[in-house]
Amino acid sequence: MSIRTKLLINVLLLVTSLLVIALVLNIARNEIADSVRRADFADRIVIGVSDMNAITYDYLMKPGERARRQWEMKHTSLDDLMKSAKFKRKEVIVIVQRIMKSHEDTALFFKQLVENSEKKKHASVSLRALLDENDERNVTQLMARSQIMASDSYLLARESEVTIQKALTWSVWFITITLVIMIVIIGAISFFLSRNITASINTLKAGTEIIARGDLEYRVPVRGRDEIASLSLSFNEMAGRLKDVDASLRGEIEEKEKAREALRIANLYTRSLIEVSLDPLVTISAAGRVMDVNKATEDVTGVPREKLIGSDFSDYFTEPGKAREGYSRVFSQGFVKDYPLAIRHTSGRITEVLYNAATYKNDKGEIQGVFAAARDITALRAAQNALRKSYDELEHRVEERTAELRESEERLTHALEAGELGIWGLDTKTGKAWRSLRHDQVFGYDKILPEWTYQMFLAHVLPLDRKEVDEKFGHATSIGTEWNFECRIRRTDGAIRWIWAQGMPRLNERNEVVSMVGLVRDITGRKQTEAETERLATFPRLNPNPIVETDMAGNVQFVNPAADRLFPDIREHGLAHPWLADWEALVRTCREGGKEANVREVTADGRWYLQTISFVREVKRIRIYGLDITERRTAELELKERTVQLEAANKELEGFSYSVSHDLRAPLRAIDGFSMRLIRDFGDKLEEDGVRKLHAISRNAQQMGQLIDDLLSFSRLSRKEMHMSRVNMEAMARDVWREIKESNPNRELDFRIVNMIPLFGDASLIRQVVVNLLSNAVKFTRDRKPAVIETGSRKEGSEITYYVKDNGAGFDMRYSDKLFGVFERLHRPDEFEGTGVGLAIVQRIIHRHGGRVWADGKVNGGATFNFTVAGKEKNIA
Amino acid sequence: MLEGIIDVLLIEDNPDDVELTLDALRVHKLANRVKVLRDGEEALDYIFCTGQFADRDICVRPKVILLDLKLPKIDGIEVLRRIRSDERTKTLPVVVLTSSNEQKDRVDSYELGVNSYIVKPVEFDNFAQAVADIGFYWVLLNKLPF
Repeated sequence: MSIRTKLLINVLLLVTSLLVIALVLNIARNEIADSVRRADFADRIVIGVSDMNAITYDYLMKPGERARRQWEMKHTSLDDLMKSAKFKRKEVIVIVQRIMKSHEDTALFFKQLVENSEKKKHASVSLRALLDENDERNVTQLMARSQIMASDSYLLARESEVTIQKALTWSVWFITITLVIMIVIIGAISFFLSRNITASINTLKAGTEIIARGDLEYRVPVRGRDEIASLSLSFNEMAGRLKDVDASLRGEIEEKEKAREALRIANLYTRSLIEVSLDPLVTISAAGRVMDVNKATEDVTGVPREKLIGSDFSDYFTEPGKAREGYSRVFSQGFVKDYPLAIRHTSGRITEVLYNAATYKNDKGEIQGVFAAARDITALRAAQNALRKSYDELEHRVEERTAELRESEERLTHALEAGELGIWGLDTKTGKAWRSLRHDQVFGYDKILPEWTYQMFLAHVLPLDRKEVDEKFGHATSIGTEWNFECRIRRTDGAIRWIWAQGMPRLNERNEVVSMVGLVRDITGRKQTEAETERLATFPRLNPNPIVETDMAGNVQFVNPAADRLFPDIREHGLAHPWLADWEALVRTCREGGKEANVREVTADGRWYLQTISFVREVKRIRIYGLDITERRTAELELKERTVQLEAANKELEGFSYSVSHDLRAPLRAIDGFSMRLIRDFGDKLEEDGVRKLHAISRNAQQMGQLIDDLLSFSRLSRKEMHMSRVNMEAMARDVWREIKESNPNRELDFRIVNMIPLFGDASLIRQVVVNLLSNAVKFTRDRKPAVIETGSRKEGSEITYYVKDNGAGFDMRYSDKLFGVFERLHRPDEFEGTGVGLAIVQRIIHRHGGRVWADGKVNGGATFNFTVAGKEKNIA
Repeated sequence: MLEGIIDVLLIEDNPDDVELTLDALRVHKLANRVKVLRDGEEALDYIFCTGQFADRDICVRPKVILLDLKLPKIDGIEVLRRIRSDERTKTLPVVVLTSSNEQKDRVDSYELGVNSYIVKPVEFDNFAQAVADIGFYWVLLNKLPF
């Protein structure tokens, strides 16, 4: 049996006993709970009985339906309680049944009480006494039953208490005994178990100690079949194996000893090699400690070997950090080569060295440390430093020269670019040339062509100029002089441009031209400017008016041919020339007043000039232009003279008109007046013919008065000022027509207005036109019934034509040119009255408006009068 | 005929016109109290009581002055200006009766404050009617301030 099994049994025992205890405790608990329920039951019975007793007394005191029902309810509830009660123990069930019996009896007695009380209501006195007695008996019986129920209930409660007491006592005893037994059993088992295990382990321990002391023959005694026994068996087996290994080891050790001796001899040889090396050699452990050094290392550090070994290797360098870095690099890449370091001697002397180092490994390839060999390079370094110094100096000088060169080149490039100059060099033997970008751009290329030759250049030159350019080139190369020319080229894009080029030949020692270096430039702009300048110069040259320019000091700078002809001596006199008299004031107002020019009139050589003096700010020059205005002047003078004459004539005419209007009318009035008075005062004394003749005198005088009036109004027309405005033609026609109609009340007139477009003109004059034309139409339709007169307008293009049309006497178109003449008439006075001025007035007014007037008609076919006014209708809108 | 009392002062140089005017005024029996003056100078002398009319009483005022414009020596416009520029005479009614239909004459007359401007019609009938109407209106109908 194993130790584990034994322990398991022990635990199992413990668990079982605990389960038993729990079981017992549960039984006890059930018993107690049952008893408590019984005691509660008994309590409720007792309370119910006492309640019922109280109700019974209530009923006896005051019998009634309410008390009876109360009693019955209480009885029923007790009844329910008892029936629901379930008990197991026989003696308890007997008691409960007894209580139930008594309870049923109480119901019986109470019923009788109730019946009696019913009977009492109707009973006689004797019967009531009997019934009372009966009640008393019943009550006694009721009380007795209640007493029994109560005592039974107490019995029940008592019995419950006893049961609880018994259950408690029993369970305590049981648990105590069980625990004691268990402790004893578990204790015994544990004791034996431990003793058993300890003994086995001690035996094993003693055995191992014996074997450890070297007695490989000893075997541990084995007892039982538990885990310790199997351990002992394994141990014995191990001891057996150990014995075999020991034997084979001893043989091996002997062989190793021999090999080590051979190695020692070999090492001595290697060692001596290391020691004689003049380069300091050192091995360093993985931890960075010096493991081995040679004599050279001692010499270079000044530290004895004993101190060196075990110390930190980096302590002996001027730069320990750099040394450690090199050391770690050996680890990372396996070696370092020519790693520069400086070793410090204890005396302070520095030795510059180059280290070559590599890791060294054991048989398994594990790194054991670093082997480092140093080489003294102090002498080498000194030589190098000297070399570097001289190199640096050289470098510096080269840089200086390069910068100078670059600057000079930049200046040259800038100069060339600013001048838009292309540069080229030609090898005269091969004809090939190198060029700058600008050179090729001049010929229309975006980039430098791969090759350029003299022939390619010539191909670009226009055939017109090619021969001359080539001859000049031949001349320059043959005698070694400058090649300088201007010519036209056709660029690769087809554009024709002017270029200027220059080349300087280079001679060899035999004075032969070997190459040529030069410049080229596009001068088209300059050529155009020159042409433009030349063209502009012709303007003042060909100007027939004199132009003179001087500087501020008065020196004549320019005189055009016209001025030269007019003032041959102006160059000598400058500003003192009479042509320029008083120039200073005029120039000053130009300079200070900001005016562009001053203009004045001067005479020279018997002619008038309009002189313009300008100050040309840009070039600080005074420029004097002259304009011959003699003809204009003469014309103006003549015009002035004529105007004066005309004004005088006009005045005269006005006076004449006035005289006519005033003086001519007075005699006419006298003629008419005295004729009429003759007829009035002496008519009866005159013969009939005499009276008729006096009437003729009077009529003629009146006719003449009318003629004078018309003539005056006609002549006034030309003097009247015009006030232009928009004229509503339709309204005006209506207004005029109304007046005409009023003064012709006996006429049958049909008047129509058709589309009268507004007109721009002098309202009063236009009204005169309308009056005259309409009156005319009315006059010449005297024989028509009805007279139809229509006025209107029509637009033809930009021209508006107004018309007045009638169905009157009309006229012969052969005489239409006479219609509008003053005093011209197409009818005899005895046909139609009138002076022949009305239409003349119309024509004059229309002419003053810049319009036309004309008439269409035929004899007895009516007439149409048309007129337009100058294209002013745009102002109407 | 009351001494010096006149209704109409007729300033007119043309004797024919004077006769025709007086003839027309006779219609309303106004011809008796008319004073005719033949030129501008005479007219001014009469109105301002100078020269040959120095002993005339200036307070005796005509009811209307009929003034021709074209007069010898001093023309009608000047006469009108003098009348209007004197405190004593500026309220006198003046009617220009002339042959002139010139706008200038009309404008000048009205600017000087003429009371009426009549153009003499050439036709005698019309003329006679116009003069008769003027006489009737100014002498018989119109009321003066003083």
